[in-house]
Amino acid sequence: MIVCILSLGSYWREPNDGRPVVWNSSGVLDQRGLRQRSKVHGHVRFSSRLYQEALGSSGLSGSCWHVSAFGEHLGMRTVALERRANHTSSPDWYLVSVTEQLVGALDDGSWDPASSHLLSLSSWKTKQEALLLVDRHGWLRGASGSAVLTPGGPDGDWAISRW
Amino acid sequence: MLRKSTLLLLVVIEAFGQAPQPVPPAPTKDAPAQTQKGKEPPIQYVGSGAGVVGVNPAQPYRPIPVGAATPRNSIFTFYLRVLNPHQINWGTGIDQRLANLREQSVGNPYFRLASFQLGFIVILLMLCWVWWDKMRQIKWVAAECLTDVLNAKVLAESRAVEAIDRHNRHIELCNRVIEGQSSGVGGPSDGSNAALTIRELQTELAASRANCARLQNELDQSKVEHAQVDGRLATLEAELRRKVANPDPDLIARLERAEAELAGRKTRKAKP
Repeated sequence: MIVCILSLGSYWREPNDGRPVVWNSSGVLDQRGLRQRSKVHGHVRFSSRLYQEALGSSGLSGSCWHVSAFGEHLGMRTVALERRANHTSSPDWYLVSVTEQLVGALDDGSWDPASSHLLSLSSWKTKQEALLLVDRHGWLRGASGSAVLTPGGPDGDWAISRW
Repeated sequence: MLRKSTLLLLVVIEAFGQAPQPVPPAPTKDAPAQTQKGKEPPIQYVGSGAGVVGVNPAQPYRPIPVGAATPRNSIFTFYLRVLNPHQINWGTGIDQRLANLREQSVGNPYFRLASFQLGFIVILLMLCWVWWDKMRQIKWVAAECLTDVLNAKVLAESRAVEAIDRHNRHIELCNRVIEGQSSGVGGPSDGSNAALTIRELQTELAASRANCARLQNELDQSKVEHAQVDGRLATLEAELRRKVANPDPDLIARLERAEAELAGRKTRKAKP
């Protein structure tokens, strides 16, 4: 399965035992800074070496990766990015992070269940951030509008329509 | 009572056994027989071998031993002789052997050195065993602590998931109440139903927009493909027109030769 990274969550974490792994998840800003405040637990797992290589070469945005199957263990949803894929390869999913600024507040039915997987959802008061795996032309429904994922579109990655 | 009577009997027997026997008078061949109470005949003493025996005239063929009044042995002496016929003094032997053992063990400096070394080795072995046993206990305690921690982790995770689900449901209900209040619909049930209906409609609209976007994308791709096909067709038509307007003389000559050869073959087949 190939995943193209369009955007990542704002919360990064490294293990305490020195393993060469980096985790990315959603997070929100509260009174004490950036915190996870997860309502749905999940993360994207990077190898440290591949992560540094990607940052140093072409950046993470727009890069395609071979990933393991989407799994859930003890309530923790995980996707592991294993190695880089060719740029010409067609991605099966797009990894995106959205906030409440896109289409307003999200709820349980705000994404297409057939063409979307929710990885992580952070929420604190009115602030929200969600990390999603979305198929091309997958949709989001928020409090103020809807958005359709159109990677490389003229208006950006999301085609937004307000109510 | 029985014990007292038995003890008294034994004392009487012992006293009787230790009582002095009357010493008979010196044997004389012609000594007048002594009479007892003037009824029994006097006993005569005659020599017999190295000793003297008494003879009762009433029973002359049953000699009576005289002068051999040896002290009678008690029953204890008898059994002592039966048990120890050679009269060995075991107490002295045991004391002698104990003295030999003491001299060869405690009195021997090599024995003392070897005993000290043996004791030291035994103490070291005891310390090793105690240390090993302590480590085993520590290992078990650590395993129990680790198991407890793992169980607590699993329990805490399950509780956290339950709490998050409960919180999400609660927040969802709160949102529905807030939306019902903000929409101005009177009853909370009506407000929540209306909000749900609006949300469902919004969801359908979002899905329809996504479907439109997908169809629009496919339409754009089809347009691009059609444009490409049109371009190729135009190119082919232009090429064909150019070839019709400017025929190749070599190809025309080859075509004429082929037609002539074909006509010649038909003529040869018609003659026969």
